Amino acid sequence: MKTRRNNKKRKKRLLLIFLPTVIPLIVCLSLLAIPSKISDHIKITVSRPLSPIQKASLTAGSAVKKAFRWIPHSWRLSSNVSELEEDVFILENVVVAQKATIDRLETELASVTEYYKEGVLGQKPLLANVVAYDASDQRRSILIDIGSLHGVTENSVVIADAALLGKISTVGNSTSRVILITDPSSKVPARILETDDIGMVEGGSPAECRLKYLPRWGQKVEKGYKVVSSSIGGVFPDSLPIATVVEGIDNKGSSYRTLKLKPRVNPADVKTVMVLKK
Amino acid sequence: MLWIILIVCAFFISILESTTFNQIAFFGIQPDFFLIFAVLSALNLDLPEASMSACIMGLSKDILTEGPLGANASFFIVIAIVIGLLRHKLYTENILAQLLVVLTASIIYRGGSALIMWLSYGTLAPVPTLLNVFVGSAYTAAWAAAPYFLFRKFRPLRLRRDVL
Repeated sequence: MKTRRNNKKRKKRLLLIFLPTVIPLIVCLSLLAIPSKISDHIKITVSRPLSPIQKASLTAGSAVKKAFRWIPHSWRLSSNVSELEEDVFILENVVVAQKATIDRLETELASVTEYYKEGVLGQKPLLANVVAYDASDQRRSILIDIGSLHGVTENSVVIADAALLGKISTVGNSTSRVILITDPSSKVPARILETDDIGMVEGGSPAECRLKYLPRWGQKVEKGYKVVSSSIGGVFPDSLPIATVVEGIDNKGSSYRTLKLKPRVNPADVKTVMVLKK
Repeated sequence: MLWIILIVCAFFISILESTTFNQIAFFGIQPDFFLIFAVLSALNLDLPEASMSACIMGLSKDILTEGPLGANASFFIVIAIVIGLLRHKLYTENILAQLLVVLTASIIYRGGSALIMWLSYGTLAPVPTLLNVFVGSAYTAAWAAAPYFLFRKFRPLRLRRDVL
């Protein structure tokens, strides 16, 4: 009788441990069943209050990083300040000369290319600051400080330093998440500028992406060739720089060629981006 | 007290993982403090508390990362439950033993995540992925020493399972 009562008590205690252990797992597994659009919206709404702190932390981190780079750099250069001043003077002149060249080229471009007229001038660019990076090092995305209130929509193209950085995946009221071209889920239709071969740029690692599905017997591709976006699919504008070719990947037996690419923009260095509002 | 510490830690880890740690990452690899806290909770707390702690850490990570909501949380809870059940077979009082458990859990988690991503998108580069799984896990385990002392200080004196 006593043993049975003890067993009952023991079972009750074990149940008290078992249930609170398993309930969180059941809740989390059921969260997986929520449609991605709704769960993305939940995520961006919940993370919104964090964005001012994240922005401050990112700014502080950048300042510290810059200071760490600056200290040894300034130490090294302090000996030849006068030489640098001379360099600055020369560089200022170069900048002025290059600005004049850029102005002239932009005027020429505007007058001759339809892309500039329809693609760039037709879209309204929005400037945004990077608020946070992806917390997982296996995914590549960033959070920016503009959202639906500013007119951002899903699949809007995001560029930085005049090159494609990614596209908007989730839009919140005042923040949006950008999937970078290096993310494993990213797929961008692209072509090689020099040969006009069309393929698909896919992510997969932090510092490189791959150009897949190129015809195996297409033209010879050399290191340094430029890869630009293609308007196939209607998401990305045509001729936006994406990356440069690093090397070919030998995948025997496949009827397609794959190339390793180095993205034009390093997402870790990007602080400000431009969103092409649709 | 323990819950306050865990929630405050989750908050600070969320901020640091999404900002500063990204800036100090090498080869794109950053330490995963969410996983460290989930594993150390499993080693130092009772199963229900460990499961809840893993849930908090996993959901915090899910909110700040691309991908389905609940994926990391489910993964973390399963890891916490398995470690919690096997805990008594390990000599877990020692710091090295705890770091080894973090290393193993990190390899399983990173490997599993990479496998899921490869199955979902089929676009993983082999060398960076292997680097991420093994070097990233060792890097994560090395960072686990600091939270280890935090748990040593605030863990309950007698675990419920030991009492039963």
